[in-house]
Amino acid sequence: MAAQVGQDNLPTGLDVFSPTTQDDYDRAEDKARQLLRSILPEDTWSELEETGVIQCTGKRGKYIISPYLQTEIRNAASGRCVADACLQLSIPAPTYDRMVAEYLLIRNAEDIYWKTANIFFRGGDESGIAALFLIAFDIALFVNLLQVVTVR
Amino acid sequence: MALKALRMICAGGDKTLAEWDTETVSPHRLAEIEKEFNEKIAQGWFAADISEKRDVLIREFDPSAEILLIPRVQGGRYVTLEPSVMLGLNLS
Repeated sequence: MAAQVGQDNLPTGLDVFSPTTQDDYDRAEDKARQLLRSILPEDTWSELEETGVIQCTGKRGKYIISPYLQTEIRNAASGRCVADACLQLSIPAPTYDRMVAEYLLIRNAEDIYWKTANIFFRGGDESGIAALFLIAFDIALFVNLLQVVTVR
Repeated sequence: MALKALRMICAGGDKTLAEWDTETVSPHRLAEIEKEFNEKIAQGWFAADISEKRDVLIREFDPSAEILLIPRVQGGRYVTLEPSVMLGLNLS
């Protein structure tokens, strides 16, 4: 009830409408989901229902768009995740509407997507260097062990 | 009869700004809708022709298309979930 009273004080334009109750929120999410469904090809929609994400391939890689997580950017050839992308709408809107925007941008204006989204590259090289250090350390320990055994 | 619509994304999902029948709509009404379309584009919104899963971005008003207006986009924050949140634990 309190939420409804609060909403009455807002201007009537839908531009500024923001969901105030769980029902409003659910209705908005459902509407956005239907919009996404009307845009996606049937197989992509089925994929979303089965896996919870949609895959979209562009010139720069394969994108895994999720309603609740950052978009994963994967190397199209190896499938390895190379970066995470964060993009949001400039107005509050249901999460599936953000997916609509991401999907359309990747399909039509991938370069703009890369210029606009915050892209966080995953540091694959650092883990490689760390592994090399560990191997070197193990070899040094092994040589040390051999020396001890040989001396005795 | 071919009904088309100009829709925009907003907080409550999407709303229909205008609807018209391509066979009977008047040039005056189309001009009004086009004006509204152009105002949004000038504000940085982008538009997509979503008729029959066509999903292409457009810059100019097309009266024969089902049009979706999408607000400006911006870079978002990198969010990492705490393990307690991922496990659904309330530790507060």
